[in-house]
Amino acid sequence: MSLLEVRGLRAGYGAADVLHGIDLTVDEGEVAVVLGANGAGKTTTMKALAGMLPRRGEVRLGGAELGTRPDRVVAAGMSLVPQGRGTLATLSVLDNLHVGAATRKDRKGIAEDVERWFDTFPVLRERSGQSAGLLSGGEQQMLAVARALMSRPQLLLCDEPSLGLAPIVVQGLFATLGAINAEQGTALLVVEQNAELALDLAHRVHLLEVGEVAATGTAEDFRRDDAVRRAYLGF
Amino acid sequence: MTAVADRPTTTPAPRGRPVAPGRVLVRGSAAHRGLQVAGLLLVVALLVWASTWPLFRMGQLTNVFVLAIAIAGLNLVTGYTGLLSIGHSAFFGLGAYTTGVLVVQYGFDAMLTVPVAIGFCFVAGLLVGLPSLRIHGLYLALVTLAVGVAFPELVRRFDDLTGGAAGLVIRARLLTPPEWTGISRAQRGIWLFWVSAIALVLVLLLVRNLTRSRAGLAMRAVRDHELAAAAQGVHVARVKILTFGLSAAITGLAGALFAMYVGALAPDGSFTLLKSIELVTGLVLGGAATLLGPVVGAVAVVFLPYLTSLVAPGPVSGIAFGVLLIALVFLMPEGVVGRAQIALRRVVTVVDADHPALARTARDPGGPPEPDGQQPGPPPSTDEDQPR
Repeated sequence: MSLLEVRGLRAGYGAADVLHGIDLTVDEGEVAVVLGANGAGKTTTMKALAGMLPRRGEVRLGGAELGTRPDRVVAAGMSLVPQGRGTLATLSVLDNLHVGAATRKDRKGIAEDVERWFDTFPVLRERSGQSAGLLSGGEQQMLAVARALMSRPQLLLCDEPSLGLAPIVVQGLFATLGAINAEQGTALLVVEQNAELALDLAHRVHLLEVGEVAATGTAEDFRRDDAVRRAYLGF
Repeated sequence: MTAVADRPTTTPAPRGRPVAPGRVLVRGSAAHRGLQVAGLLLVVALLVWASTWPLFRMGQLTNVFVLAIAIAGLNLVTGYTGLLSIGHSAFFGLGAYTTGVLVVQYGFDAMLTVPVAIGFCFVAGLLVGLPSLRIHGLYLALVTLAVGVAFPELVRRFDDLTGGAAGLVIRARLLTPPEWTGISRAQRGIWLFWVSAIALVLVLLLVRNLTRSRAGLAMRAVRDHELAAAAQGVHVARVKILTFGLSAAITGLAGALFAMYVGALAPDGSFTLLKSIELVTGLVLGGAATLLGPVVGAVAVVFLPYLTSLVAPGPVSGIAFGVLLIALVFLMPEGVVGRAQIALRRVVTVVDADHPALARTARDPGGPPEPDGQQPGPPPSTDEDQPR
C-alpha cells in the first residue's frame, strides 16, 4: 500500500476547476516529483493536498482519509513547504522552527529536533536569534524546509523549492533534500520546474498537463523516452 | 554542471555578531530576576507616590490606566495577530453599558458587574471575530468599522434600558467604595485609582504570559504569514476567533472601569468611532506588539493634547497635535516602546536559558538548570537516541 494515495482529485478557485481528477501515489520513503508547465496545476495540487483549498476526490495518507483541515493534515504526518517559502519574517529563526512544531506537545523532542536541523543547516544556528526576514533567499528556503520537518512528517511536500534561488544554491538544497530522504526515510513529493535537477532526485515522476496527469513513470523511463523528454522536459 | 559541484553551495553568511558575555541576561537568572523585582518595586513606589496627588491628577491617571487596558486589548488582535480593528469602541462601550445598566437598572454592586462585562464582551468579540476567517486586511477593518458605527445606534435604540440619547447617570451613591477600604464616597477617586492600577497590572501580566506562550507564537505566525502558519499546523481559525474574544474582553474590562470613573454614559460621548481611532493612535504611538506600548500610548493620547494646547493655544493646538503625530510616526514607526527596545538591545540582550546561541559563549553558571559537564557545541547529528 502506498503512503499517499490520491484518486480523482479536483480542486480550483471559485467555480472553475484547475484540477480535473488527478491520480497519484507516493510510496513510503520515496521521492516523487511532479513536473509540468506553468498553469498545469502543480501548486494547486499541493495546496489541495495540504488542505488549503476546498477539494473533491480521495486523499489518503497511510490508508486514512486526510480531510481538509490544514492542522489535521500536519498532525496526520504530511507537511508543506509553501511556494515562496512562507517565511514568518518578524519571528526569529528559532521561533519559526517552533511554529513548525505547532501540532506537537513534547518539549524535549522539539528541542532535540531543533538541534537536529541546526546541525543539518548550521547557518540557521548562527542566525537563530535573528528575524527570519533578514535571511537570504537560500537561507529562508532552508528554514522553510527545516520548519516543515519540525512536525516530523512521514511525507514532505515541497512546492518549487528552487524558486528564485541561484542554481548553485538549488543544487545544495536538492542534495540536502536527498540526504534527508535517505537518512530519515521521509518521503518527498516535490513540485519542480527544473526537470533535469528533479529527475536526479526522483524515484517516480508524475507529469502534469492542464490539470491532469499526462504520464507517470520512473525517472529512468522519463530520461529514456525521447518523445516525452523533448515535449515536456526540454533537453 | 559538474564543475561547480564541489564549490560551497551558498555564499558563507557573515557570522551573527557573537553575544559578548556580560551583556547577555539569561531569562530567569539571578540578575534578570533582580532587575524584574526592582522594576516592579519602582512601579509600586510610583503608584504610592501618585496616590498622594490631588484627586484631579489621580483622576487623570485613572483615565490613563483605563485607556491603557483598552489599548492592551486592541494590541492582542491588531498588534500581535495583525487584524486591524476599528470597532473596539463598541467593546469599550459594551463593557461600560453592561456595568452602567446592571448598576442603575438592576441594583448590582459595581464591582460584581465587571466579570459580567468581561463575559459579554468576550462573546461579542468571538462573534465579531467570525468574519476574520474569510475577510482580510482592509475589508476586515471595514467590518469592524461597521460594528463601531452601529454601537451608539444600538444604545439609542434600546433607550428604556440604556437611557438612550439622554444618557445614563450612575449616582455616586451606587459607586461607594466597599467599607473595608475605609475610603469615603467623596474620595472614591482613590479607590478607582487603585482598582484600575491593579487591573492594568493584571492585564499586562496576562498579555505578557499569553504572548510568550505557544498561543502567542501562533498569533504572531498568523500575522506574519497566514498561509505558512496554516501549512505548519497552526489552527488559524481558532487563533483568530479566540484572540478577538480575549481582546474584546480586555477592552470591555476597560469600559466597565470607565463607567465607574465617569459615572455618566452617553452614546455620543466616549463610544463613537473617535474612541476607536484614539485606541489605534495610542497603539501605534506606544508601539504595536509590545507589552508596554499600550501604557505609553495611553499617556500620549491623554497628555499630548494638553501639551500642544499649552504651546499653541486655540484651534491651532489641533494642528500642532496632528503635526506631532505625523512627526512621531515618521521618526518612530515602531512606536516609542518599539524604538526603545531596539535601542536597549544595543546595550543588553535577554535570552532564554536554552537559547542555542548560548552554546557558543560561556554558559551563565547561575542560569541554566542543568550545568552538565558536556562541551558546548553541536551534538552529533541524526543520532535518534542521543541522551540529552
